[in-house]
Formats: sequence, C-alpha cells, structure tokens
Amino acid sequence: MTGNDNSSFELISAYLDGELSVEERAQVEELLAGSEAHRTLLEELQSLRTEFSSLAPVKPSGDLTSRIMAAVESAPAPVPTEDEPAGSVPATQLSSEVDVQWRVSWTQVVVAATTLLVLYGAYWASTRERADGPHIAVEDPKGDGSKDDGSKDDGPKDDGPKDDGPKIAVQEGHPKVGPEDPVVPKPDELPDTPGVPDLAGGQFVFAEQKTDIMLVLEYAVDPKVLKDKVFKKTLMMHGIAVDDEIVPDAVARKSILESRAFSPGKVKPRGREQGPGGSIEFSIVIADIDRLFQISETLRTAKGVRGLHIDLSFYESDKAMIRELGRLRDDQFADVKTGKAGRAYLVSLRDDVQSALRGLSTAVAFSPVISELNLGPVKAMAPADIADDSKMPVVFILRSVAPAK
Amino acid sequence: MSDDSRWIDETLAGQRSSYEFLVVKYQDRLFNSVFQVVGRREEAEDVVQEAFVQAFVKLGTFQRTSGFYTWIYRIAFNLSVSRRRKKRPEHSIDHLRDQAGEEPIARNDPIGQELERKEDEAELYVALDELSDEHRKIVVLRELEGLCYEEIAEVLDLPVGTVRSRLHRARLQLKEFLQTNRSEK
Repeated sequence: MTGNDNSSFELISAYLDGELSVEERAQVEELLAGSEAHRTLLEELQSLRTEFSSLAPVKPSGDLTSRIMAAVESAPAPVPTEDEPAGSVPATQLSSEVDVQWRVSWTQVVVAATTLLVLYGAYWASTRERADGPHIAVEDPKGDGSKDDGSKDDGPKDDGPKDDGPKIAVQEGHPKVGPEDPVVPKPDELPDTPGVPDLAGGQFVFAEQKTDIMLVLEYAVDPKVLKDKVFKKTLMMHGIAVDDEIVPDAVARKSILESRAFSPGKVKPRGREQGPGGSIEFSIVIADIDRLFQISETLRTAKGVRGLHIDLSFYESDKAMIRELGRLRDDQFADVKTGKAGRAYLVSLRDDVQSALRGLSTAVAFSPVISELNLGPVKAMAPADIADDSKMPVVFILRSVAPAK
Repeated sequence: MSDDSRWIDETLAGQRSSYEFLVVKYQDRLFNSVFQVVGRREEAEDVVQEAFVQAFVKLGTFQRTSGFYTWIYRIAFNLSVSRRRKKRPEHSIDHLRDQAGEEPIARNDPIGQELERKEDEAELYVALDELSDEHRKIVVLRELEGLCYEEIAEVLDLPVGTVRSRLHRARLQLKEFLQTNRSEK
C-alpha cells in the first residue's frame, strides 16, 4: 500500500463514519467514482461494521449491581464541591471537607502509591519573551497566603510550616524549598493513619485512584487561559486533554469556576512579566511517561503557563508498581530503593532522563525529603540554588500507603 | 436537570442509594465495552465495579463538563488497559464462548447458518483481540459504543486526527486478519 493509498484509505474509513469535511467528502466521492479498489475497500469496511453491529451484547452477571453497591457502601463518601447545587456541603465547609477527604484517602486506599516528581517551572523562557500572551502572575501577591476573597489558598506558599504538611514554596513563579520547610517523614515514618501530613501538603487527591500509571501535570496558569478553549485545543493537538474533573486543589477548582479569587486589578503588577490575574493550578492526566517528552514544546509555547508540577502516581500493589516502572522505562530508572516495611520506594532517574525532564521547565524544586532519604548524588537545594537551572535535579519520590484494615 | 445530575446531587448530599440508579443505568453498557478490552467476563466485572467505586469516591470532583458516562468510561478504560497489560486474554474455547455468550437456540435460522454466524462472531472477537490495546480501544469505542471521533478523543485523551488514523489502521488489520482466517477454511 502506498502512502497515497494509506491516506485515501484513511479518508474512506472516516467517510464511513461521517467524519469528513465537505471538501474531504467530495474528494472521497471522486475517488470512489474512479477507483474499483476504493469502492471495494468501502464495501469491506461497511461489511466489517455490519459484523460489529450484529454482535450480541455481552451481559454481566445478575448480581453485579449488588456487588458494586456493596463496594460503594464501604467506600469513603465523596466530597461535594462548592459548585454543587444547594443541598450539598456549604462553601464554608469546603476546605475542611477536602482536608478530611485527603486524610481519609490515606487510610482507605486499598493500596496506593504516589510518585511525586516536583517540577515547578517558574517562567518559561518563551513565555518571558512573549509580549502578547497572558503574563506570569503572582501566586500570592500579599505574601500572607490570602486571596482576594479573603480565603486561604491550599496551594503552594512561601510562608513557612503549616499544620497540614510541607509546602513547596512558590513566589513570583519560582519554586523555593528552604530551611523553613517542615521536616518530611522518612519512608518508614510514612503515614498510614489519618491526619498525618503528606509530602505535598495535602494538595493531591490522586492517591485513592487505583489505575495504571498516571502522570498528573499541574500547571499554574492564568484562570482566563484555563477557560480558553483555544488553549485546551492547543493541548489537545499535542495529545493532551485537560481533565476538568480532577483538578486536585479544591480551592483552585473553586477559583477556576468562579474566577473571583483572581480578579484583575487586585494583584500588584511586578514589571513586565506580571499579568492581571493570579494563578490557577489545573491538572492533566496522561497515561504514558513518554508523553512527558512530547509535551515539552507545547508547554514552552503555551500562553499563560507559569509553572509545572508533575505527579506520577502509581497504583495497584507495590510490587505491581515496581514492575510497571520497569516495564515502562527499564533503562531509565537507575536506582530503585525500597524503604522499610516495603512501604516506600525511591526512584532516582538517570542523568539523561533528568535532563530531558528538566527541559520541560526552567526551574525545578523538590521536597527536602530527598536529602533525608539519602539518594546519593541528589541533594536538597538551597533557595538560592533554585534560580540556577544548571543545578536543578529531578527526582521521583515514590511512596505507597498501607491499605485500610 | 437531567436524571444523572439529580442522582449525582443526591449522592453527594449523602444519599448513596441514588448512586445505584447510575450503576443500573450504565453498568451493562460499560461492562460490554470493558469486556471487549479485557477479554474476560470476571475481569470485566471487576473493572466495572472498581470504576464505579472510583467514580463514587471522586464524584465531588466531577465537574459535569462531560457526561457521567464519558467520565466513568475514561476511568474504566484506564483500568482495563492496565489489567490487560498485565495479563493478556487467552484464546480458549471457554473464552470464545464467553465472548459469544451461551449457545442460543436458533429460532428462524437453519442450524447451519446459526453455527456459521456464531463462528464468524467468535472470529471477529479473536481478530479484535489481536489488535494492539490502542487500536482495540478505538474500535470498541467506535463500533460498539458508537462514539464519534471527538468523543473518542475525549475518552482516550487523544487528538481527533490520531483517532481517525488509528481507527483506519485498526480496521485494515481487522479486515486482513479476517480475510486471511476465512480464506484458510
């Protein structure tokens, strides 16, 4: 089959599905009129479709509903968000509810594993140069963690330790991890009881998902950009879909929906790089580590992107997690260490992989837990070093959580 | 307000029994598609169950920009592919019988025609099983679920152009596989 055949056959396939533009349809009809081979192909594809349509649907066993509902009964309750209609949880309870959900997830996960690759890209080089796009915004212009509506943001802060766990410090788009960050538990101290702080400060609610390896990319963008369909389309064109359902930070999600916490005019502009709004985090889930490498260019050119946080979450059992890691990038995980009680795994990346990932961002920060876990060449960095791209390491921290008893 | 939205609201308000309406409404459809991906009845039921539980736990994060079914479909598909990677289905007699269902009683068709139809059906399932995960998912979503390209793209997080090209290649592979197999008889 030649390249032309391939192209025209693809058109015929889409023609069968009614998925062509008017011009393409006319092109196909011309092809069909003049080519016996193309007519034959269309007939064969139609025949194939007929075969599929004649398949008898396969039914599940009769007790599936009751089994599902039994499992649902023992599952943790979903936490309503403020965009839910009246009758759900009041807005004033939102933060505490989310906090509860996060804590619950620690104990009610069957077996959850979370990999955190913390990459906080502050300013994309290309973004810096753009004069027309939404500009880099201030995460916390007042420096006190407050929002325009007076609420507290659960997102990254630079205001020191909090009760709910360590934070990745972010100011003016630059992630900073400094001595003010609280101590993060060692692997053998990782929590399996409610209320114990999480590495990421409780921002991430993915631990309860028991799916395949999942890469969660969290971007900080101007809220207007996030709502921009063109932006989404741009990502889609690169094989990335914005998953609106899994924005991890309930406060951020609320802000996205209402846009009120990031009202233009209430944030002090700081030079040319400041935009009118604050920033919002949203997440993108992709299913393949290779896609990380594919999105680099998209991110570099996307308007309004000011930060990147990648969360690689692994589910299934711990062993399956490690197997899956090996399957995906056998040659790229240079070091896998197992923590005590089999509950923690640390994976550092080979230099070339680190370099590739670093290409996604101009700045990378990570939790001080890295130094405590003695990962060899990887060290926690002083805030001053964060500004120096050449010193930025990339580290995966994998952690699994014991299942609820 | 749609029934789905109402049931979701009620579930979020603490009425778990309302979630059962969603389960009953979508479980068969979901099972049928998941079954084509994982290839085993028991495993498909596990996936469907797990998908519904995950969706329940995360229901508060569902922002309703897509339908509930599309959302849970994505969850189920991720689970399906994960399982399939770990254990590929076997082409056993039981498996084929599982796929094709219990032997039906031919009412109008002569016995020979009915048997032939069953055989074709089983072959189609085997051909489907021969596809790569990426191709199989798209075929299932298109041919069995009847989703348009844009919907498939949404479920699988792919560009529409990729959906189109993969579907085309998958169809060619199916066609060639079936032609080869049937010509050998």
